[in-house]
Amino acid sequence: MRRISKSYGSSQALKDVSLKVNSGELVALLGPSGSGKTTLLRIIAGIEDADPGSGEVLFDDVDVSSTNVGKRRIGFVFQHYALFKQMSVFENIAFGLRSKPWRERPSKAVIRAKVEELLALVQLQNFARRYPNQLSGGQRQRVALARALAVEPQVLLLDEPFGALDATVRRELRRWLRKLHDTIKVTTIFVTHDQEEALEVADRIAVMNAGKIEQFASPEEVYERPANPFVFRFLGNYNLFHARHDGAPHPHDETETAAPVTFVRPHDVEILRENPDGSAIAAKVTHIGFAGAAVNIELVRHDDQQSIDAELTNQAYRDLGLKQDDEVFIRLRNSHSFYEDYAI
Amino acid sequence: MARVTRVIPGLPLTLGYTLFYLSLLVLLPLAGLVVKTTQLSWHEFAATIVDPVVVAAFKLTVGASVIAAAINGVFGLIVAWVLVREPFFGRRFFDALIDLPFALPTAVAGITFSALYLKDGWIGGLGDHIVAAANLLAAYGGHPDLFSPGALSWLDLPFSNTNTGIVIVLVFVGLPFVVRTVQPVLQEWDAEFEQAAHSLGANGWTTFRRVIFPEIFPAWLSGVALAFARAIGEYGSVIFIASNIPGKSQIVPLQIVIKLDEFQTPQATAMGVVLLVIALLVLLGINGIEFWARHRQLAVA
Repeated sequence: MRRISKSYGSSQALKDVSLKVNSGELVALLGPSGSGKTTLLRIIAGIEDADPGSGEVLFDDVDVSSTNVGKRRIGFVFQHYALFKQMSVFENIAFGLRSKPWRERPSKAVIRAKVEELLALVQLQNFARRYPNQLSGGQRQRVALARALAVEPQVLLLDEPFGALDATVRRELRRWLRKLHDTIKVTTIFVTHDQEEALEVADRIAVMNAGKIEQFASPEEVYERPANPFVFRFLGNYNLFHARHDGAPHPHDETETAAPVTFVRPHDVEILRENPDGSAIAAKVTHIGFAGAAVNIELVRHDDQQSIDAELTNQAYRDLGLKQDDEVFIRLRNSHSFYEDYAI
Repeated sequence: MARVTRVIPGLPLTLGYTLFYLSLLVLLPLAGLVVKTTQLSWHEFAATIVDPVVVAAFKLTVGASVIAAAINGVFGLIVAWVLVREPFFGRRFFDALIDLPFALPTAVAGITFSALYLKDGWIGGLGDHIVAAANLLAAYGGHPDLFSPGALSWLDLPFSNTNTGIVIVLVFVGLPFVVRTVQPVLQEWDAEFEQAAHSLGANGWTTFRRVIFPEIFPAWLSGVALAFARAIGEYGSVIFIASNIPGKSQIVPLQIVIKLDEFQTPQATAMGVVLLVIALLVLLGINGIEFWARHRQLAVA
């Protein structure tokens, strides 16, 4: 599979979206709810159709827009798994193979071997005869994945694959998914609203907002060089500085008239005890929130009373020996200024 | 011991009421039926039941009920499916219509059906009516008796004056059961299962057979069972459409009424008991299948 390009003209859900995914890539569609990411995934799958005349879905340069879901050779994993309740795990996984027209249908022995292989791949060898309601959420998710993989899809599509799981299982499963992808190398697109998930798992991330793709790049690129304020805001916590006529967002910035908004991540706010070159901003610690490995500090700037969030490592926090109401200086390590008229 | 919170207050009272009510309305009459039957000696009981006329009546009643339940099983499912899945003009109207057989006095249904489907009815005598109309038109053209009276009698519905009429009314009275049991399950059905099956390459029929039907099977089966039980005991509509010839087209309930008219009450209750046993066995068997279907998936291998 070389290319999916997809343009889709619609008033609401998706606005002329184009996306090209390389063969063997693991891509995340990341966005808030209502951004059209699931719709896009379902159109790629063929479960929903794009608006007539709006655009096409291409697999390997072949237009599959009018191809039926079943013939597209996709594997779709639903958010709530949609496992067939009255079938055992084995029967669920074998369903795709058994449903083929009898001419193409593999023999019973081949189906059995294939299912065993997939069960081993998802580490559920001993669960073949269980029924879905006897499995945990994570196990169901893996069965759903194995079921989708059984038909040897060209593209694997996952809709919020870990959405219904609790935090620990979620983290475990997404690492497992990454490893699985590295083993089987099938082109995969998954939808998520969890930035951390997208950043950790995907090769590339398409950040979506209001039916548009705001940025499509590697996790590092998206995080370090966000294309616009939306992407910056969506990918984590931030401090916002408005350039005002009464002062620059911070003393290093010479372009205050041209830069209306500046964003800084909390972990890019450096807290200093001294002000060696006079460039740091004086502030006061108003709250200390201890969150284990990281410590969240709330400060108030002395010059314009604006509050600032900072995130320190546990180590740095202890080295500084910060206490409530301490007078400190802050310096911004890595700030992003956007010049567009972005309504807050 | 933890105190169990009860949903209905005053459970001893409600439980007592339930048992009393069931006893008064169900158990007592059934017990009376059995007691009355015991007035017969075993020999008399057997003689009543193996009487060829009675045996024929049982065969007809059970056979017609099985066929009617099977027809309702297939078409009731289709009707339920269409009512849930296909938006069409007047859907709500037809949906409301389904309950009509519940509300309509069955005698009225029987008379209506016989007026329509028997040999001299509108539909039952369709060929003859066409012939008559054609001859009437031809008479104006100067060719009276253009067609011989029996020319189109092959158009008369083949069940006129046969026991097929019984099956038709039984299908009518049993229709709501399957529709009303299957409908809610179909309404609850999540389209994702179908999409999943389609995405795995299954065609419509495979999806229905292997994914949807197993899900609605228990409800469908109870619907069929209820339709059957209803048909077994149906009297009012059948006696109007059946020709009621002893040993050929008499149903068991009619035999019972005849016996009652002849003051042979124990003989009548004997037949009632047999009918009851048949209905109970069928309901029991179907509950067994349902139980098996529901617990199959819970059995850990």
